[in-house]
Amino acid sequence: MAVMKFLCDTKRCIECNGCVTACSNSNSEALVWGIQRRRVVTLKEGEPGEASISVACMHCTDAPCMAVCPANCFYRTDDGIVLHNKATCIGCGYCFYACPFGAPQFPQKTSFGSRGKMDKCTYCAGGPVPDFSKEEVELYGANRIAEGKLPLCAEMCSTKALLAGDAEVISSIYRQRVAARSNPNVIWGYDPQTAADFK
Amino acid sequence: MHREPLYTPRRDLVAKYPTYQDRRVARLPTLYWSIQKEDYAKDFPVILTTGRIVEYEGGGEETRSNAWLAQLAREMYIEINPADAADRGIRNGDKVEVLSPTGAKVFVKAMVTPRVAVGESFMPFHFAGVFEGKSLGPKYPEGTEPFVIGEAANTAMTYGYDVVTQIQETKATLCQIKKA
Amino acid sequence: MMIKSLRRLLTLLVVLMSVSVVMPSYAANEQTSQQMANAEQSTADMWRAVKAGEVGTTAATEVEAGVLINTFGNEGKIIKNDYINPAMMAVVVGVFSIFLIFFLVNGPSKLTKGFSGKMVLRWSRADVILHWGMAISCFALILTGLTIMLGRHIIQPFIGHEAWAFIIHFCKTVHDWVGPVFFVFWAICVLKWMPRQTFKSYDLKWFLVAGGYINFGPFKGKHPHSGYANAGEKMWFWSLAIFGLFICTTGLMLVFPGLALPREVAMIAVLVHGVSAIVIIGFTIVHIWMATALSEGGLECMKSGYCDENWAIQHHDIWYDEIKANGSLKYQD
Repeated sequence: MAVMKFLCDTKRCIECNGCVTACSNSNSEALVWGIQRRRVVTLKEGEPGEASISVACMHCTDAPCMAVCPANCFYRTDDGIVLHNKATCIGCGYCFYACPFGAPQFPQKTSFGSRGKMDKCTYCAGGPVPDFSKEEVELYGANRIAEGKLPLCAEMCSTKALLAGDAEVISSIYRQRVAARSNPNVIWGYDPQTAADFK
Repeated sequence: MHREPLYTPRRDLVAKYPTYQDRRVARLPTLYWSIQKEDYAKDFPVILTTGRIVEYEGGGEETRSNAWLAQLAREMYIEINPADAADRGIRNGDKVEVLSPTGAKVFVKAMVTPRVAVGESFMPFHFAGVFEGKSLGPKYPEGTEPFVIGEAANTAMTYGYDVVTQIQETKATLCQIKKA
Repeated sequence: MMIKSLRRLLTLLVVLMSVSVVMPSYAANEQTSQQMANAEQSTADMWRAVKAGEVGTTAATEVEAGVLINTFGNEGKIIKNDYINPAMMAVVVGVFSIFLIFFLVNGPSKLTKGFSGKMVLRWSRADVILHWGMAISCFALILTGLTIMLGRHIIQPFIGHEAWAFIIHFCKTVHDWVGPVFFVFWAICVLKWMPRQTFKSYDLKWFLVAGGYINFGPFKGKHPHSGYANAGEKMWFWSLAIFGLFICTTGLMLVFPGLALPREVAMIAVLVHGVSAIVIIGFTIVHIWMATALSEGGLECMKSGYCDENWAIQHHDIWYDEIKANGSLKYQD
């Protein structure tokens, strides 16, 4: 069984916000302008050691949101994706307080009482309603997993900094990259293939 | 060879690398030295340049009308080095006015960041729809106002033309920044 | 996860390095490994900073969007789930059962001289209304609050999804709207009743005989002195005043999303709200037991505002003597 995760390679992320745009576009029916499910955070901006990281729901194995939710509206799919049921969500905000990554958002701006339905990254896996139904598109957005595809943010990442997929696979890709990057004989962080390689 | 910009804080470099004499380019009278000889740097000590940001393209009218791009850069801003900002009592996110030697005055938000060097500032040129603090939003044909409008950086840019192609100077001028 | 894979990577490197030291055939790799470790050193430092909650810049505009890792979130979850929730369960079940057992063993505290039939004014009409306003709102908050806190463990497993969604929505809505009502009643009650609730020296003696409610052993038949309120009631009052202040403040903080509180503050508010609720719920259970079952003639005070004269003499003698002396004693018509 796969355990789906995101991994952001900080040596490759160029803070182009392409993942954010891809996400917003992919899930456009479910989103409100100005609320983004994914964000790119740049550390030490303009200083040596600057690094950018694309972050959204990390689909934790031991998810604090799931543990703290009074309505118990979270569930985990067979692929290890943490999803939630907007029909049960009461908009209390506990998941937002507990989440280490700031993933849960409350798009409806309310001034009293419930914050409205929580919205977060679904790993482009839709929600608890029938796949590809109108309801799913409007409440949760795309369901690319059901189509056999990965989340659009990772698929569209121009530098392939943001990796999505089974934890084993993406961590082995990352490990290969680190090994290649740290090898002084390799200039670009990967083995540039030239015509000579095919002779 | 290098020629110092018309508006420059480096008077020593003006002496060493002066610009052209005023001349006609094709049939157009074009000013060079008569501008550079004035020292604007006392009142306008900060170098101002303009450039691109990744979210928008060109004047930005199309990209600012794209919901998912526009949400990523919702306000016109000026990048200021923390040292310059501290001198002026400006904090990140404050409203500031950028004063140009030509008398133009644009109202933007301050982004205090070490991305720019001390004594320099940067504005993206993709914004339009606000002129010297006044919104031009109502003048757009109905339903065509972009999601994001802001001061046009070129309002604060100054005189200067390329000696061959007559392209305007958009990369080097001076300004003063004040808390609005 | 990134951190984990990085850690795995670093472990790999360390193993690789040690292997290369031990085995000469790998000696040539040592330098490369060293360089690999150094190249990743800055990355390790960065992830450490991220884990410690370093703030960066971002185009996102939500609350604390620049924080990659909210360090307190998971700790708050642990405190809530592992300590506060079980404590709440323990208090509700524990206090109730202790009093049930005590009641079954001890029986109610009877009036030694029986009812006199003469009713003395104890609470004004306004006081009675305030009391029941606070009591009903408080009770609604307790029931809905307990559902919000423990419902997913004690209700959800036994009912269908639709029913659960309805119940939890109902509870959340009631909790939000009744909260401010309780706050108003609580504030008026605390301010209005505070002057009668100062501790006096005879209150200490009240504790020494456990309030005179025990019907066996050395405490049997003891009736300690007490003023308008006895020491137990004063303790209840001040707990409600102090923890009520906490619970109202944190409740109001949480019920206005527009405040856009930092997540740590909000999480602390949730925790303080929970702890205060435990104290208040514990005392409320005691209070209801005392008033309805344990103290004969006690409930009458809050029904009509009048108490039996013998009840007043037995339970609040100093107050009775005082109103008798200064002539403010008033019988029911």
